[in-house]
Amino acid sequence: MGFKIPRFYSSYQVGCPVDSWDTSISNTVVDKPSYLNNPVLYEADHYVKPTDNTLHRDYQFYVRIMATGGSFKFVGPYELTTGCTFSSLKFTDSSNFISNAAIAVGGNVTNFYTFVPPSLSLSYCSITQNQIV
Amino acid sequence: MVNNSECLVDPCYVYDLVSSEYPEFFEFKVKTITTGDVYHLSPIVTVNIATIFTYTAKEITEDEAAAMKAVEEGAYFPAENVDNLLDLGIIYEERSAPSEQDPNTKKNEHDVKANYGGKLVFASVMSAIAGSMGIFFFRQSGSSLQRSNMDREIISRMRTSGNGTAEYGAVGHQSMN
Repeated sequence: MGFKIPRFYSSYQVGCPVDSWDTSISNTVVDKPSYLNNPVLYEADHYVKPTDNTLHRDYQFYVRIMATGGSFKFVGPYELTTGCTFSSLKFTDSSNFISNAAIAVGGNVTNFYTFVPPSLSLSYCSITQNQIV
Repeated sequence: MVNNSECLVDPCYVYDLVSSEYPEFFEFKVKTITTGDVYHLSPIVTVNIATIFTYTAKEITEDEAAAMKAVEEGAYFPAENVDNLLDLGIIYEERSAPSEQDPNTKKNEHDVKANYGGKLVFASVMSAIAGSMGIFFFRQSGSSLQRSNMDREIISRMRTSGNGTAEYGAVGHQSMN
């Protein structure tokens, strides 16, 4: 669905209803980011979606709300995260993690150490690689 | 060091060491990468490659005491034919996991904890090949035992015969029969 914008109403909702919603990276003038769509109405609420929802990314944005007659207000900033990012994904080291390994000189070196991976806070994120560093 | 290739998804095995030919100490971490290229570094993993030698020893006899006294006075008892002694099982090297590690040197140092009640003890081995006697001396110091120079020479030779180096100090437990 996207990022759900809070509902806003005009103090003269009958004669001067809120009728314009714009996404912006500025809170003084409307500067629409290329990577975010304008809010779209869906069942009485407005939602902001990225233009490319396959990216793993954090977005920060504002929304300008304008009423009939030109009165407006900037609201935000809002944070929208899609996919797996450093801000959204947390790692927890396994309690079975092995921090010491010992081997004798000349001993068998194959599979001498097994790495127990950490758990991830987001189920839709997955481990793609483990590297020795 | 650790081979850095093909450590992929769960289960991840560090499947090989480039070498375990020499005693050494090293550390590594595992970098876990997820979708979105988010990564996490594991705690440090410490790896010890070490050798432990075990010697058979007995209490000193009068003759052996005399021999030891001679060594202390500078006499030389050849520790030659160590390989033969190893082959015959008269002395033996036991390879096993390392013991305590010196936090400063990061090497597994001498780990001698036995208390022999103030007695001087040593191990006596007979070389059937050379027909001469090699003697390992253990000299008591406080509650622990320290090897004599003669013993160090034997150890050095043992190590030299094994891998061509006597530089590393990863030697450990002594046992008494």
